Amino acid sequence: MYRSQQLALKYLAAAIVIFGAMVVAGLMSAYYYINPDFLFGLLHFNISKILHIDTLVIWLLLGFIGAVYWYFPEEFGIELVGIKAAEVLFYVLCAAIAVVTLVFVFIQYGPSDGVGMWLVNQGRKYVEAPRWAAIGIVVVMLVFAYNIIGTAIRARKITGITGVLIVDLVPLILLYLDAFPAAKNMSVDLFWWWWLVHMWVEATWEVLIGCIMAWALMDLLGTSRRIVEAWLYIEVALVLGTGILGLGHHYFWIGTPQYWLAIGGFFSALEPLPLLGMVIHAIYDAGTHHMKTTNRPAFYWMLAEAFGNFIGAGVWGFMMTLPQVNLYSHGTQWTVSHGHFAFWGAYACGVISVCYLVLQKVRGSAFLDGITWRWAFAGLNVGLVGMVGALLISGFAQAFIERAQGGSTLEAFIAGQENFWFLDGMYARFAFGLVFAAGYAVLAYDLLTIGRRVPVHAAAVAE
Amino acid sequence: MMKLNLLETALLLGGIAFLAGCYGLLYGVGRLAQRQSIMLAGFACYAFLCMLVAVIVSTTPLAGPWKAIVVVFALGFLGIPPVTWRFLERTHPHRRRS
Repeated sequence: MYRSQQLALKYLAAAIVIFGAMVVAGLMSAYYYINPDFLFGLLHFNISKILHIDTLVIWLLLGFIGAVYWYFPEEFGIELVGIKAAEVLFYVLCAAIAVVTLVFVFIQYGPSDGVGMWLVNQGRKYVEAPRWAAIGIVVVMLVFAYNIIGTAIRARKITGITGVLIVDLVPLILLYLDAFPAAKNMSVDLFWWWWLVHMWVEATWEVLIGCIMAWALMDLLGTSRRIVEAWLYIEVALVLGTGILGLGHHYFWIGTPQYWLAIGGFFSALEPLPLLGMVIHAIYDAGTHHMKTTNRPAFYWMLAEAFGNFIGAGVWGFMMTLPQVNLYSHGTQWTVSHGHFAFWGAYACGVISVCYLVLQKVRGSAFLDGITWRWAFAGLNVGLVGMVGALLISGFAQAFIERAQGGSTLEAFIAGQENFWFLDGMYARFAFGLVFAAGYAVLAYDLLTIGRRVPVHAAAVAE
Repeated sequence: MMKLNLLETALLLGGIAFLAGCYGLLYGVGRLAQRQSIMLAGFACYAFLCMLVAVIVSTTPLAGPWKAIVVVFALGFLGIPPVTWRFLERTHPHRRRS
């Protein structure tokens, strides 16, 4: 095993641990909605929400980096260039995440000056980490880029997947720099801030997970490189074609020019089209393999990725993306429902699938299966679908009562929050959140033990 | 007007994308299993999708250009499964089943 693959294991393990932290923070955030006095004076809703969203970003990012560190040396047959720096930075990054978490939990607020921005909270949604930590993230991403590009140069070789990955690293890093400015004008600030949030999630991350899934498909199903690379190019073209200008679907209520609303509505409405193609591809792959594979959990999580992405990003997105609907649904629990489903389908299922692929190699299991992963799969997916269903109902109530009927006044806001559809949705969301958390616990146990607990069925490979 | 039709319009739009997924799923499974009945079920989903498009065009307060876009996208949904399938069969000749 390459040193970078040993490092990949650490990254994936850290990702799963932080996934757990995200679940805990999510449960807390959900509970605040049904008991606003929870931890009153100790830890307020905004802190748990920051923890929930920031840990989401971090665990997925660690998962992506881990997956790339796992597959990249196999791609070129050599060790990663700069592996020592990457190893050191892993520990630095973990320590930084721990320190930032402790600051968020125990310090919470700082003065509205440079001290607060540098040491406590940068004050920008989703990238709240204090400035020293944000600079640290840039350093980690630069070293990651150095590892990838340096290795390709040393190998004097480039493949279709690595080419796409290298090109993707440029906007991935450059866009994160957008986390730093502190524009005084709120409209200007939000205009550029969305470039970071949207372009990461609906452009650069999509390409990154596309590269990872291309490697995973070759690994899991033995799909030829020519095929996965052809699909990767198509996916990149379609996702970027629809995703980049889809940016405009965020530009509501922040003072941006009105033409952005139509541009955003049109291009984001296009997004289900390539996603439907991905569903067809998943059916084709699953069918021609007769649903048989040497790694069932990885295979099923990959299928969940294709279907979850279509439903979460495609169906939920199409429901609310046209400007006449988005005008009212924007920023309600309806959006939260879409966000949960889309992140789960587009990214989380893929990272979990890679974890199982990696574990199969590490534990030397010729055939990976069992009962436990099925419980985890069921718990996480039932919990997630229940949560997004509940959030959707709450969001409908909020958009209709608070926005459409009430005109977004304070009185309408209160009426929306007190409406029984909204409240019942919040209770149901918490209940399904508990199911999701149970699913996570089973997943964590399974990842720790699968391949050790289940005997190696060499004969089953021939199945 | 839009206020009253907000949820109805959103659900109809979501229904279109969902039925497109059902059509794609059943089309794919039907092609794999070589079962005409499953593929017909897929086309029935698409027919239902067309009905929702007709309802959107005739009853919702979406502006004209957006209604036109919904119609064009519905046509796109019709073409994607067979076109993708043909591409897959061409690029996976060793796995072709029919």
